[in-house]
Amino acid sequence: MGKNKTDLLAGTLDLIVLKLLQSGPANGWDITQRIQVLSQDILSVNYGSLYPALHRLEARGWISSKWGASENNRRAKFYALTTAGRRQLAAERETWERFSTALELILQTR
Amino acid sequence: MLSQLKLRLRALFRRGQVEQELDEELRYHLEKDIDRHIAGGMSPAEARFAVRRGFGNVEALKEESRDARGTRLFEDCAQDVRHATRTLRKSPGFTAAAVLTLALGIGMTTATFSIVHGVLLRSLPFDEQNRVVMLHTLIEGEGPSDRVLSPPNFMSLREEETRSFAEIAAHLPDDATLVGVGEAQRLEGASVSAGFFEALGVDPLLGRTFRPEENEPGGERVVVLGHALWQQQFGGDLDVIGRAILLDETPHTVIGVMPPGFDFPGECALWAPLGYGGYFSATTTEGRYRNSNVPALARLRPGVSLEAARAELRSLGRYLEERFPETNTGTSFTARPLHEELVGDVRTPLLLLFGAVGLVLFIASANVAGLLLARAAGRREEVAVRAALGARRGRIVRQLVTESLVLGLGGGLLGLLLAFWATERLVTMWPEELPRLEAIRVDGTVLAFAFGIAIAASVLAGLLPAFRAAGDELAVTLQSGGRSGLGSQRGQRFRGALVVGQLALAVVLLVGAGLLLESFVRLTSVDSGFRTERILSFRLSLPGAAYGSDGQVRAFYGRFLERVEQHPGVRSAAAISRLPIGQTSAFDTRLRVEGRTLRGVRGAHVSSPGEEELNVRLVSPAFFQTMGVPILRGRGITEQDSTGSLPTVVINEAAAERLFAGEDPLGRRLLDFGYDPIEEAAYAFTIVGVVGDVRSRGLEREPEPEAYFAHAQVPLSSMSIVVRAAGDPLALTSTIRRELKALDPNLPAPEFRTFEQVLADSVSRPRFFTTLLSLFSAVALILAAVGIFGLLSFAVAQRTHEIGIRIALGASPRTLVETVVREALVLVVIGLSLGTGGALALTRLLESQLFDVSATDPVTFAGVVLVLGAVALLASLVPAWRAATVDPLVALRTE
Repeated sequence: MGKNKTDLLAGTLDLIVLKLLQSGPANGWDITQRIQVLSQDILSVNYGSLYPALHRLEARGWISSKWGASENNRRAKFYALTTAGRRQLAAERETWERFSTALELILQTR
Repeated sequence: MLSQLKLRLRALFRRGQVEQELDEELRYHLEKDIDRHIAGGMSPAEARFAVRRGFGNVEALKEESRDARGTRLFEDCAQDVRHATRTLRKSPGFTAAAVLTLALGIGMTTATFSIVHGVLLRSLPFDEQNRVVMLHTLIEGEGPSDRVLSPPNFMSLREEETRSFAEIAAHLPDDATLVGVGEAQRLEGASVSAGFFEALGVDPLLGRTFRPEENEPGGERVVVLGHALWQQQFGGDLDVIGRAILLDETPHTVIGVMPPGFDFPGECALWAPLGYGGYFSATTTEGRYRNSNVPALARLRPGVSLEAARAELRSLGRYLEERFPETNTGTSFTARPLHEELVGDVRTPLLLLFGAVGLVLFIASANVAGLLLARAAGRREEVAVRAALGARRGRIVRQLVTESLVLGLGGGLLGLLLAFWATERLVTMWPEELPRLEAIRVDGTVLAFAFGIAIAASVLAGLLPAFRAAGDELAVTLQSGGRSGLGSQRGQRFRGALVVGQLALAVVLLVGAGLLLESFVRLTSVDSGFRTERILSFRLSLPGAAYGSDGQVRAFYGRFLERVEQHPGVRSAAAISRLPIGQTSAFDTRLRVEGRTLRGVRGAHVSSPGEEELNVRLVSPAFFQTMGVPILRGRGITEQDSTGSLPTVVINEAAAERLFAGEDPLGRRLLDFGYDPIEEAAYAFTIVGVVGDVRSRGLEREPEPEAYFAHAQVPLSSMSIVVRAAGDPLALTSTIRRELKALDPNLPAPEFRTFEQVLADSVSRPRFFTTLLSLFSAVALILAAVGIFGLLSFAVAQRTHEIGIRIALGASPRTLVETVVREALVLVVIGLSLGTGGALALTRLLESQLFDVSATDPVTFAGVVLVLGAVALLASLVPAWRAATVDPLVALRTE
């Protein structure tokens, strides 16, 4: 495992989690899997940073959590985006886009 | 928002459940991962191992998740406090020492603060008390003085429509004898002008205060009672309003009762209207000149500043100068806040005391810091292990500081008990003449203060040792097995700083206390000019109604003194208008030597030789003999100086020197112009004798020029009696009481004091401050000695290993003692020099409190440096001796 994997840039995990929850509630494991799949295995997030991030986002009121049954009927905690979380997602997305545009402009200069 | 709050509260109070959920959530994740690996072809055991390894430090992860919940601080604090109490309980000796030291410092500081707070900071029981000012007369060339107003000037100011003052009111002391309610009783009262209660902003509890017309001469006799008097003598009877009571044998109607706590001025029990008349006139010149005897207060109008009020008083002064040039030339007026006036000269000594106790608290904190440092050194291994297990530095510091906070709060609680006790003791020791005793108590503000300094002291004591402990290089500590090695540089420097700091503060305190003690000893051993032993004193006041004429007054005192002197236990008895040392207020009269012309023009009142303000006292014949005042020339006042005979006066040496400068004063005449410089040659008194100087206005004051007149020639109804006893003066009290009753059953029983008590009371304030400061510095000395001993012992203990090696290599015990003592000596010398420097800078503040001692008295400084140096060296000798007797084998093995 682990060739060509890239560490997440600081601060981007929150954005990713919020974005992934936009399409519906998910549990922690689902989120790690989806990050891996959607980033085509470039990004992987480890447990050590995911769960603190989830709890932090919950503490800020951007996501809420609920215990439910997973697909194979085990008890799992599901996280869903709140209204405040949606606003936060939009805001963070805009910030990120401005940042990446700016970065792109800088990198293109010769 | 609400859901967030719920989340946090849940995290805080249902911690167990939240933790469990976190476990469960992580377990789910783990199992899913294992499933995935198995699906990918691993054996279950392999999959489990792979996942476990990938998961890393589960505890750290949990910790971080907890952090994210935002309740971490609370949880940690609770945990820290639990941990701290647990570890502290395990070392009771250390805990007791630290808590007691802090309790001592905090308790003393809090008790002193309760006094400072009560006297200086708590407000007066008046409405908007900072708007109330007292008015003063300023005389050109005199500088600021305590002069109040003359009656006509008061009336003139009162009648002006001022922009600054809403009310201007006067109050005169007016004692009265209350008869017919219980025992005849002498009460402190005041005659007050219209607007007095309004100026202070107090309303009566019952009834009303005075109407303006009641201040006019011949107004109805009415009186307002103080709350205490109403409670004690009238049982709090609501029907007291309208009742007639007998004051000085004259019926007065009670019209009001004031609320509890109001007893201004002084300890006033009742108030009567001040009947304007005589000098109380806005138009007269009579009695206007420098006749300062009317204390007046005023209330500033809203929005008017003190400065503006002073400016207006200056212009009023100029106006009155123009209007009454003969009397008011060079006279102006000013105002001072009443609170400042009441607190007056207590402010400086109180603040000094507070500063001193603050230094004691610093020393106590330094001591605890030393204790914590030693303790931290013993716990290096524990700290290192915790750091290795992932505790961050800040976290460890926080935990150690929590420990000292727990100590501080323990010390604070104990200190508060001490403060309660000490405040009570201080209040009973409190010199009577000091103001605002009633305001001293331990209340919410004082509690908050105690809490605040408890926290401050413990953080102060705990922070540096905690940083030291947490800042050690982990690997080094673990490798050395927690052994302290050769003692780190930083540790030594910190210890050194503590020793130096404690010593320096102790020097400052001890020098202060030493100076005050020296000053007190000199004050109490100064020659007062009297023989003070076996003298009984008390005060008599004859009510004006029964003793209206001079003849009646003269007859009463003549008969009374005669009857007392006939008693076998009495050597002699005499009367004097104001008891020396007991009654120190000035009663100056301007006297001029006959035949001298004044320099300058009439009305300008330039002081010139031959004209002098003398402190005037009226005495009965036996006074000089009774008090042991030597007659240096001529004779004293005798029986022959009575009505109809030549008016005579006896002056003291200081007056003779001032007025006659070497010439013979006997037979010369002194002219008394009363208060009025215009009416020439009022009375002439022939000087018949010169007596020795006495410190009649207090032991601390140089003798002043004085003139003694014969009471028989100038009778006064209120006199102090002094009786020289053959034996114990207090044994005479019942006899004297009986004689008094026999002469006039309506006179209240006097309060007796021996003259030695009078003397002791007169120095009660310096005694109070000296005692307290000595106590503080004794505590400081002990704390500093213990602290230095502890720190040096610790330093030696830290180096046992090194010392063992040295001994093994052949160092002699002597060299070792020398090494340790030399190191201590360096610190001691630095500490003592810093302290001496600090003391030189700070004792200047003490200057106003010192009598006959310079603030830089070299003897005191040298003594303190010697004592402290000796104590510090002694404190270092024991550890040094211990170092020299270290058994090298034990030292090398145990470390």
